[in-house]
Amino acid sequence: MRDLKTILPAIALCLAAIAVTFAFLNFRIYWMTDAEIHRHLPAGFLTHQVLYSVGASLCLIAISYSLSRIRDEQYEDLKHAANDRHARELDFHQKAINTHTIVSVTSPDCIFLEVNDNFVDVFGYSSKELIGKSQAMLYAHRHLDPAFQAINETVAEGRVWSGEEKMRSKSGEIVYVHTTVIPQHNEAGQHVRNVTMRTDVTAARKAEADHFLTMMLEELQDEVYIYDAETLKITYVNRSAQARCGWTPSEARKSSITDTAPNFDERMFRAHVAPLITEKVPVVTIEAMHPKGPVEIATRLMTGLDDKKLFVSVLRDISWRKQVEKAKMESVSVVSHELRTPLTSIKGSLRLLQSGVLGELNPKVKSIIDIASRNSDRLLMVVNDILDLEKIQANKMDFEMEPLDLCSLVTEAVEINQGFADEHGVTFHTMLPEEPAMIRGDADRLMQVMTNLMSNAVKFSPTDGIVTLIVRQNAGYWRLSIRDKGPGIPEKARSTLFKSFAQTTPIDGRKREGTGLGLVIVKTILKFHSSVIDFRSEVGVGTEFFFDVPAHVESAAKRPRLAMVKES
Amino acid sequence: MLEDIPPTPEQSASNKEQDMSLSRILHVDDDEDIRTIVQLALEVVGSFDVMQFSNGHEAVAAAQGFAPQLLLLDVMMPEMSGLDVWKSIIAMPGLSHVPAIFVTAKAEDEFSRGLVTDGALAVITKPFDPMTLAQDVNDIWERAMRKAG
Repeated sequence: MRDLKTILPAIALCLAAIAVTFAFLNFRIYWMTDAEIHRHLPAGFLTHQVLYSVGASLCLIAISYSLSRIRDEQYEDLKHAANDRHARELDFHQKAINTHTIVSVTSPDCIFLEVNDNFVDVFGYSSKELIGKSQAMLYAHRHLDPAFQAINETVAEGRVWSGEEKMRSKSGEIVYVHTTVIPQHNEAGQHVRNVTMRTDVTAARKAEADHFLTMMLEELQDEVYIYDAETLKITYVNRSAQARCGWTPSEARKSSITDTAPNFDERMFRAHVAPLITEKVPVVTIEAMHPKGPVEIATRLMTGLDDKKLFVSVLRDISWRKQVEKAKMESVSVVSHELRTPLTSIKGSLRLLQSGVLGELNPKVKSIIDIASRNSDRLLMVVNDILDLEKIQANKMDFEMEPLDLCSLVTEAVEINQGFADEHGVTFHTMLPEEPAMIRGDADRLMQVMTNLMSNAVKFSPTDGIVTLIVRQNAGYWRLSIRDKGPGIPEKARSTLFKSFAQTTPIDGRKREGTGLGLVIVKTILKFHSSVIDFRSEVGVGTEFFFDVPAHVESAAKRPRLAMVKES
Repeated sequence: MLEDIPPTPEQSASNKEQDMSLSRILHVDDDEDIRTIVQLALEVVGSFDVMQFSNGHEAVAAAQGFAPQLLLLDVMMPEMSGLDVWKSIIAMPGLSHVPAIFVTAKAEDEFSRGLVTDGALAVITKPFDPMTLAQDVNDIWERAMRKAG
């Protein structure tokens, strides 16, 4: 068929040539006289002339048709070629868009109709999880998210929305995208869908943030040192650190953290930072004296981009903090003086009256004096506990750590608290090992701990009750337990037991005297002995408070394998 | 004219015993109520001869006439602190040996240790028990005397 189409013009040309010849002949005949016609032309020639004219016309028509066909064919070919090229280009553009852009098509009410592969890759949802769902699922504040609302308002007005959005992937990670939302309308002008194109700019934003952080680090007054956790070679120091060490940036990168101070003790330093690796503690802090004043050095362990372990040390000037601490201690000291001096007079007066050295009191007066005396004792207890807590918090409480026998300390504590136990009709029982339970601690502070726990146990014991103190070995530690047969600690009170001023009414409803600070002080003092206070309690049965103190190393060799306990 | 007769060994022992036993205490405190409590505690509960002053200047002026064996001094006082009073008294002829016990409401261990380092016999913390104060002061005195030989 195609060949026929190409032959047709040739045939048409031949017919056209014949037609032109006949036309020429006709032209000649037209200008001939009748005599010339009769002389030159045979009879019937004119009839033939008419036929030839008709034939010529047909030929011309055929030529016109052929030419028109040729033109149509060529046009069609060109059209097909153009369409193919256009389709290829469109396909190419779509591929380019799909490669670079996150594309989604949503209904006017923001329900996903289509998403491209990029969308799935970036947000982590499968297309099945998205189609039919609201786009709001990708915003931190869902339908109430300001960006989500701004887009809806803009496209509803038929305008294109363009801007940056903060969205969330399926895994919860933040994705920053630059977005253009184009509303699409049908021929009737109805808003039928939105085509949204997004570009993931998270990496760029992170890079900006990193750059900003670096700038911030540079401007920090605190000195920042980042160095290899193994070799201690410096990878980064900020401007403040460079200034103190007198380094240029390139000199800093050739240095080690050990070069930061002339008397840097690497062994001590490694011992200081060891808990970051061995115990996974988040930060280790040390205070040091800098030529310009006191400083605090906080060190953390971090993982670099190449999985290298890095230490990050921040050296902070704490002169101001020290001044505040000093001022605080001074104010505590003043309060202490101002409260203790009148208390001396009150307690002293009451004590002299109670003793009878100033004359016998009648029973009614004596009972009132007793009330005043008890309450002045209570007030003093509060003042002392607050002062102790302040001292501990300000690191002003002295701890004279020395080898101690925990058993001797328990025996002494029983003697000291015997009077208080007698007042409440309570008996102390001790169960102690035969050999010394050597620990390292501050005798006075541990006595404070024991007195606190023992007085609590006494206060909560029934009359004629027994408080038992047990010392026993516990895997490299000596454990002291103090058991009472009191009402037990209610479940709801357990979580706040070691918080300041936490006092609850026990099951039996009887309120006991106390400041609500005792157990906080106990916990803090024990912390300085690498020990933690804990308890077991059963309502209606009793309570056992216990703590483990590391056994003193020197005594370890002398200790028998198993400690026998005796009751006294 | 009587000659100075050297004391017999018995007399020496008796004199020494007299010196060893505490009787005269000079007490300085700016708080009148505390002075009252201390007077009752040392004179009624204990049996000491106590001279009291509300400030350091008066105490220093009267010190030589009273010839105290022991000073009981409040630490924080206006004008002259307890430490200043002690330093002024031991600078006087014949009183250089007089020891001091300080009374303070300050709770810091460091502060108390500093006073003992400066030569104080002891530091008693307020509030003290008036019923045991005399005994406590006497115990501290005797311990110091034994130590001094």
